[in-house]
Amino acid sequence: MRKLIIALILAFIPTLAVAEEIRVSVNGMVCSFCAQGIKKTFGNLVEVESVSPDLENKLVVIVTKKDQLLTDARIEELIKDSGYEVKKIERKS
Amino acid sequence: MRTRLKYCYFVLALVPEIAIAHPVSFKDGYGVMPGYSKERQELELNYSLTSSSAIALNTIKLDYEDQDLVFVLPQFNYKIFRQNEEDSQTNLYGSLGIGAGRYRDETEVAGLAAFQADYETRRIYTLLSAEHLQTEGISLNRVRYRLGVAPYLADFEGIHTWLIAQVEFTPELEEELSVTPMLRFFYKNYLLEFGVSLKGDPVAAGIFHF
Repeated sequence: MRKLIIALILAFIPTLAVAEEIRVSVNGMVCSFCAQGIKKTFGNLVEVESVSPDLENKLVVIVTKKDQLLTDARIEELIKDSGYEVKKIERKS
Repeated sequence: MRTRLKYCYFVLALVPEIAIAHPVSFKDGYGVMPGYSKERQELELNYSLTSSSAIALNTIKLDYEDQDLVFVLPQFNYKIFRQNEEDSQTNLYGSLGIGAGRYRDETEVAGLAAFQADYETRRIYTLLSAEHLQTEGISLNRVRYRLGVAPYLADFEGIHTWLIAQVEFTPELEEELSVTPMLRFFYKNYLLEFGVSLKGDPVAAGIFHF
């Protein structure tokens, strides 16, 4: 059991040590003025290094700070608070 | 008091009018929406409690039978419906306000009911709105339709431009329809629009979110 716990901790350490790029496909994001809420909402989070809405590809690219996590559920909630809907979330470290 | 009110509306006249509002923005977002047209000047301040509801304070000054008619209305704005599609957005908003109306040195209870439906893509924008204002012995209605086209597509941080045709009917103030070609610009969280009606009357509007 102890070995399993140690293995799990070791497995998570590399994930937490690096920043993560999260690409969120968002429905309804057709107007930059209306989507300012997305920029403001994510920009205010301590976990977030940068947030870049992309109207052409209907994407919001979020880069987290090192050692910071942003769950899919939290992203969906914040996109909803901004008035939009998440279509898909992709991650790469 | 009257001089002070006139001064306030003179200041408002220097900034754009709220020709079309964002009754609700995003959770914890603030909106400042000043406005000017020949017969109407207004300022709405709102705070969005959620992405569907906002509380607001709306002040409206109208030129009614050659006298100033002023409304001060605490207001509740609600997004009744929103459809987010990949390339479009459809909204239906409703607003209700109750407060005071001042006309010919008399202050009475006043109310506002309004709805707004809009549809937009990155290229096309269309909107229908209706508003009813009521105070003792006075009923005022306004119906407005807009169609807009974006001549080019800008990215998120760019300056966006829209060419808009607006048709407005205010039966108690004007017998004829008012047709106004307008230009709208927005950059980041600032929106500005202005136009001149076919009769030569200037119209302007602005929205600032933060």
